[in-house]
Amino acid sequence: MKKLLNALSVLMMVAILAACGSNNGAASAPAPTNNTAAGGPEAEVKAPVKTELKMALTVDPDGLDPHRTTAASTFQITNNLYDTLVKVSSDGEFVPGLAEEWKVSEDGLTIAFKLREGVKFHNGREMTAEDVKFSFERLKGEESPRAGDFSNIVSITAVDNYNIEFATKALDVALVSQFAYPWTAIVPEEAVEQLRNNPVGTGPFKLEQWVPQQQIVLTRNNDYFTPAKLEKVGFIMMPDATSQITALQSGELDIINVSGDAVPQFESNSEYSIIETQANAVQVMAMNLDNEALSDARVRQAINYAVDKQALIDTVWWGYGQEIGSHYPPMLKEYLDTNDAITYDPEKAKQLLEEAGYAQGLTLEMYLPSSYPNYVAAGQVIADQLKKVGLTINIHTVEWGFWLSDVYTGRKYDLTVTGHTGRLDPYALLARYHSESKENYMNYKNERVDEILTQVQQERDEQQRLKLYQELQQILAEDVPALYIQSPIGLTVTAANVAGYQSYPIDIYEMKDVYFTN
Amino acid sequence: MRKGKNNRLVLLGIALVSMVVLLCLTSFIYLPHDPNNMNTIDRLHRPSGEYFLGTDQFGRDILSRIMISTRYALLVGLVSVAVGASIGVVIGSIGGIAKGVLQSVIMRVIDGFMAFPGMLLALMLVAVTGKGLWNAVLAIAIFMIPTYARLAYSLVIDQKNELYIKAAKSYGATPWRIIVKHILPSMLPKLITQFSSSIGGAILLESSLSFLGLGVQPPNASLGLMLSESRQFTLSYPYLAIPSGIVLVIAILGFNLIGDALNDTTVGRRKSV
Repeated sequence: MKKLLNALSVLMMVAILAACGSNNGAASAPAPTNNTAAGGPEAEVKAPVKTELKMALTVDPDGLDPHRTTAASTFQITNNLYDTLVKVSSDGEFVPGLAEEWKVSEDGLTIAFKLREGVKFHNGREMTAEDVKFSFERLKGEESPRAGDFSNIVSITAVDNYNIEFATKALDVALVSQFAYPWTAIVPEEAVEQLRNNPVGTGPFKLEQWVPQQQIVLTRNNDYFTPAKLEKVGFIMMPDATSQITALQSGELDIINVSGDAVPQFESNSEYSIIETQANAVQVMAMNLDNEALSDARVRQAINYAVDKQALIDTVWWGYGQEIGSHYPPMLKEYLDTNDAITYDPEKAKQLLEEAGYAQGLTLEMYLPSSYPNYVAAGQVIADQLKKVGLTINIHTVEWGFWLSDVYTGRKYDLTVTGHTGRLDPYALLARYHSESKENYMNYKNERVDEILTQVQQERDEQQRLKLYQELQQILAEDVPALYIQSPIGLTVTAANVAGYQSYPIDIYEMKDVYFTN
Repeated sequence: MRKGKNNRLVLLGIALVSMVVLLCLTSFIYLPHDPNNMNTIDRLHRPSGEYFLGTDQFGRDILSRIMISTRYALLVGLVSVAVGASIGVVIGSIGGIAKGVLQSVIMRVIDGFMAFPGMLLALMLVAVTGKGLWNAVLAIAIFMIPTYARLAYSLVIDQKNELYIKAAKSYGATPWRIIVKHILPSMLPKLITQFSSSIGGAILLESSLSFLGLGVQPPNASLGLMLSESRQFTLSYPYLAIPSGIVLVIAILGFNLIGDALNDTTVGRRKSV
């Protein structure tokens, strides 16, 4: 009997091992409330359309205070709670947010916003220019991790309740984009101490409940200028992809993001729709030029010649990605197709390695962030392809925290696979290649690149700017401080009755326009 | 009746372990494919003549990877338990012979180690020593020490007052000689029993560490790592997790059954049922 138990317990352990992580993070759902006026004598709605939507999240937000974090997981949600002066439409245009209109001065150094009147914070107070001023000062403050991005703004003047002006030190041709990022949300001064856990904004939804690692529930802000269609939005924490899929199939969730391998399950099923979006992001294998071998452009080129990108994309991303040759996503208008600069050619790779003096081989250390299974898989495929041209790659999978501190910030690595989410302005996307940038974790140094990056900020002619950005892309495609892999295609699966869900060039989950059809 | 059942179980245990050992030994002579070679065109194949157990998401042959994995599993199992047991026995014996403060200090430290859940201790050790196969071996070895120290300690205390030990003492034998010549041989059966059961635990621990990405590093194969990699495809390709899961069950179950059977014969404690 005891032995049977032992045997069973072994089986159990293996089962647990196999199931580890597939916890079902969904809390018991409260019954959907379809009657809008609770307790009111209103007649029953004839065909009740669902008004409560649930979406899966894989990472808990790092607080809901937009001025005190850089976590993407926070900004994916906060745009539902707060508003920014300017918004971005799904095709990348700047559209009015809290500001009805804006005007850049002749010399390009000041920008004036006219605010929407009668906008109320969730606490009932009206939002005015003073709140905008306060918010940007807080964003520029010492405790703000983004302070550096806004150091160019030197003075903020609230002209009256609904007019505000920002003056900049140096010319920034893409100034308006600085007011569209989700971290430039407008917050009320009286609530900032509690903002991390009790967000108060002007957004289309208010926070109803946040149970860390479980769920975030938002309810509609009925005072909003264009009220949302949904009454409630639940963001359910579910790190495991498999649990998300089963939860969607059982109707527990309405929207999930999936990877390419899950597509066949939903493709030919009319109960679901798949939304494919070309993401504003690039995925790369960065190389550390502090390594002696990698400081030689021939070695870096050899690495680029040795990797079959299309096979890599097919294997890791199931073909859902667009090959790139430089650090630029094809969806942006400045994109230059540089895929021809270096094409797959292992013989050429061997020859270049020989020229560089590494005919006998070379050993490199590759660090992969374990929380991103795709990057770990991509690293393995790349290592396998590099092995075929005589390079030995030692793989280390590391925690995200370690990756951020030692690999990205500490720059202690040879190779690493990662992704960069795009920005609204090409400069912000490419600035990391300046030899003095703090984000230049590849230790890349190229005089012409530095020159371009300095010049382009001052260039007011759009054609000239375009030329400079394209030259920069071409340089990167030939000098290859990284192996530029792909710009990913995002895959979102929704229940078929979900409508109005859109994706944006910034990484946000916008729920205002989403509704159920029945 | 009991005897017969016992024999059958030990035979089953031996049979299971032999299967794993056979897989491991064969891997030195013959591998169907290079276990780390990616052949992305042939990925996620079902079992076929070419790929006996199919291929994984990178087109690597699952059978070859399992064969290589058994090497690591057995290596970690045997080496870490051997190292842990040797150190543990020495510490425990010293604890058993020593008197007063030294005894208390040694045994309380060991108790302290035992208070940690095994996985937590191993995770902590890996965090200190770093990742990789040998660090996992080290972590598991350290994890094994307290069990053996406690066992050796109780056996030494138990034997210390036996007449034959007292007789040896009166001849003027040194404590060292007493331990090596008299106490250790009497401990052996129980140590071997414990050894066999520990190997199963060590293999499971190694798999858990590799599953969490702290043991064997990719692209090398380990049963835990293979399970972890297949997890992503549980819905679309549920078959992927099965072969490595089964081999893991076979290995652990086999060693545990042998350990249990040995326990019954050497200790003879389990009289019931």
